[in-house]
Amino acid sequence: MKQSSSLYLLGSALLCLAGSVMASDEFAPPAFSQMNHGGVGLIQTPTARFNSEGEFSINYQDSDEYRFWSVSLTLFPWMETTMRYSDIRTLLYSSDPGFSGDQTFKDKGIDVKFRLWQESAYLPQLAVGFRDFGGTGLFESEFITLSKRWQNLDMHLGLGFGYLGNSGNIANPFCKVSDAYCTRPGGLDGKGGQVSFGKFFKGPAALYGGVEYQTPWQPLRLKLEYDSNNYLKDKAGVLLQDSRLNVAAVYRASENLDLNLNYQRGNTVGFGVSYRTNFDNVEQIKIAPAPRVVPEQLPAASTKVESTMLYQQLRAEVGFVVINYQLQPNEVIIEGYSTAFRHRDEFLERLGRLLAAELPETVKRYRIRELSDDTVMVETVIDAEKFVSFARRDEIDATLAQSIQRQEPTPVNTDWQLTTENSGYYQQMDGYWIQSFGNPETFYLYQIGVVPAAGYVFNKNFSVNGALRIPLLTNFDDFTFTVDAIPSTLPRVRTYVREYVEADTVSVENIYLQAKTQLVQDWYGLAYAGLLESMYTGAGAEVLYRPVDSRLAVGIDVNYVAQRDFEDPFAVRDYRVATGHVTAYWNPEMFDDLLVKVSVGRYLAKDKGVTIDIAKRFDSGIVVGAYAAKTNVSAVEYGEGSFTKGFYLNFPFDLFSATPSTGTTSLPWVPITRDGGQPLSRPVKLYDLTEVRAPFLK
Amino acid sequence: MSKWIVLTLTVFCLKLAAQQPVSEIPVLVQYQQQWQGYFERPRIQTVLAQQVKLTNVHWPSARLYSLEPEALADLEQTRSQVLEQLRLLIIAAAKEPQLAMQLQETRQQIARWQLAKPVALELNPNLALVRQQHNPKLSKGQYLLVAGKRVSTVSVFGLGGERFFMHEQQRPAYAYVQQATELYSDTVWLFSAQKPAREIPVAAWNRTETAIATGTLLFVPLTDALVEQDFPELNQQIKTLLVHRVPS
Repeated sequence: MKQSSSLYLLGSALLCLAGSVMASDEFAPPAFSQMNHGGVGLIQTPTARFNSEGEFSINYQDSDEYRFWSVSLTLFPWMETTMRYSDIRTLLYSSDPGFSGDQTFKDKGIDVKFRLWQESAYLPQLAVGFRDFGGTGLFESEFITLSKRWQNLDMHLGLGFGYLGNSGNIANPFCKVSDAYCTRPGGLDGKGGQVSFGKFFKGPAALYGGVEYQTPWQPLRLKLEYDSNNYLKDKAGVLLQDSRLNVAAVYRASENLDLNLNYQRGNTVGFGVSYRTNFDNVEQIKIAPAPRVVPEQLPAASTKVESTMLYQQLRAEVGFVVINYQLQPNEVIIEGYSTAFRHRDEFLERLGRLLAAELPETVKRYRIRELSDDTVMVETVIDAEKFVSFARRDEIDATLAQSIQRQEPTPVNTDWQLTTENSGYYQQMDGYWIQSFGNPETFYLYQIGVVPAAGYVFNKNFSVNGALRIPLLTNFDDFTFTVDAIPSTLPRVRTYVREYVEADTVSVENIYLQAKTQLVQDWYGLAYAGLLESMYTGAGAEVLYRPVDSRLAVGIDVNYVAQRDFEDPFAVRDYRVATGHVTAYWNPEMFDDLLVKVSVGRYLAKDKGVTIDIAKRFDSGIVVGAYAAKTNVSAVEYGEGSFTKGFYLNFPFDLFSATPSTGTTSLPWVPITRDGGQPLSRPVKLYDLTEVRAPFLK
Repeated sequence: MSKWIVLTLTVFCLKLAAQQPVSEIPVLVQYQQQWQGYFERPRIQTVLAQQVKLTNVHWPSARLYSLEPEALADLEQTRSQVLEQLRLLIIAAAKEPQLAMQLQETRQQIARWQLAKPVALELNPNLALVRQQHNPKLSKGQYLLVAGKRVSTVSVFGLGGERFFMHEQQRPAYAYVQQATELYSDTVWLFSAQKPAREIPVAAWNRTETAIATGTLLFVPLTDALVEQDFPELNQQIKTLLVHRVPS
């Protein structure tokens, strides 16, 4: 009776709203709003809508029983991903106050939604999705959902399973096909963290639906939802449900900010906030010197070039740090580092303009050789005449591409007119930021500090390098334990992490000898020995094949390492291992914004397997990636999480600064760190070192 | 006819002045039916300064077109194909006089269009003064310069020809399409001087709030029922012609 009256109310509301649609004809949400769990949806239930590619939302939702922190990203127009931490306010993290104090229960979850059919004039949009499919599964659900819009009204109908199907208001249609779908298996697959394929679309099913109405007042949207959950099996306990109808108002406070207020189950008020941006469009205003104007009359052949002045101008106006320079009657060869303009065309145009304005007109070729760690990686040859024609717009349809050619560096006479010593002492300072979510002591643990690094470069092939880790701000002293009490059949190759980072004192990050060289064309070699990373010391070598502008690269690394002592930076523990991988890097032509890495080999715990890492680059330069390692260690042996997986965001520094920059920074998120599938964190990687040969982070 | 007299006279004067045949004048630019010849390839800023004497020119809608015979020949061939397909549609619609009349009007208007190849260049005399990329040197050839005062209309082109509506600030594209009552499509093509042609949704189920600039043309494709079976390329060909249509 309660259900039928709710459906009646929903139907009445639909008619009511449809009536007002006739009076208004404005509806075009620049972005669809988020549901309580994160991801595009109504209040509790997801819809078949997708925001535009690159749309990123950070959401917080609050109600009596739950708090949800989530981030949601539309990776592709047909795929949305959401990651979420849930705070169950009615439960404690553990029954042991000495372990987790009075912290409430936390759970993480990952959702994914795929568009199967795009809306057309008569057919609705169709999507299928999986909620909380990779964690402990507190909200584990699958859904098939339809969305159809008519003017200001966006209407949704879905079929939920699992958490979203708890009310069982309809017979599971798959149950008619196979009895296996009639009941939903309980428990976790493995030790949690595994995709529960065996549960998909099984057990009770329920219909849900609702509408989102764009009011004539543009910032305000209203939502009405018929809920498919009965809240009898919630982790927070049995939740009283006075009504199956949930309502919400979403107020768009600014272009990037949504505020929402909702009324759930006929008895609970909730509220939330969503901040959103788009990774494709995000940009930063830049303050940079104006590009040079190429004069109508180029400098005469007799013009004397002040090379020191040219160095300074290249550095100040183009961000190009010159190491070697050679001016011949008809060409100039410059070797150096590009440090400012990460967009290649902008860098080359600025560089070409400056050289055209400063060098004699007899110089017909600018050979720009970009270095990485003192090794020439790529040569860009600029045809001066064509470039000047482009820069001065002497032809309407001239383009930069017509004047430049990237190639394998060709040998040069090393009789440099000006050169910078490539040996000597160096020092630099980096920052670091370690964070961990969902810990028993406190939800958020962090350590922020600096990594002063220094070294001595003997020549372009040999160097000795070292770095310290100095914590400045940390709450790691809240640790209530160091090594977890979970029994492990694997060697503890990473789960001693707290032992290493616990102390708020200075620690040695690495000290190592490095040798590298270009073996033959397209092949690079690297060897290193010493304290390689915070947990391991030893020696290793890598060989990489990477032609200029090739979409494919292949590398192999082998290492023999010993686990470092927790306290004494130069002492080692008993554990030793030979580890290494063969890695293929592929940037598919059809998906130019994807980089796929596949590594096969032996990991630190002596397990063997494969790691697949997929990274997607957005137009702004932000890269979002995910990886998973599957080895010959079973889920039970592995422990919580069942296998190693992680996510990362790479941001260009450029987005946070008004000054142009080529650097990037990474923000990793590893749901849980165990010992299986863990590679050595090598201090130098040839693929990173040779990035300029086929840039992906452009 | 008068256009050709002006052309002839202007070119004659140029010949007299330079003692050089017209074919040897590297750059010829037509503006408001007057031809100007340049013996040295000029930069666009020079052309604008010398030729555009109007005040209150609406530069965002100004365009430069190439009148090179090779490009025009291709366009005329496309136009011939479009006109022929419309002629066949008119014959097929003999039992529907209203439809036949609308097709006839569409055909007649397309036949009257002046076609030229737009040059990908933002015209702005102020920017041209200070930025090299806005002040290119014209390549050898013949050009048509279109630069006038701001128009106050938006036009919708589709079956039955072109309709004009007063432009209103913040009024979305779909509202103009709705105003052209007998036209319907899920998406229309938007043509403006500032941006490349783009397809935008305008139906009740997919429309977006796309505010459009004055002078914009919205092309409502001929319905699939009319063209899909026999003339699947017709809408695409009309779109090509619209990209190259010189505003009258």
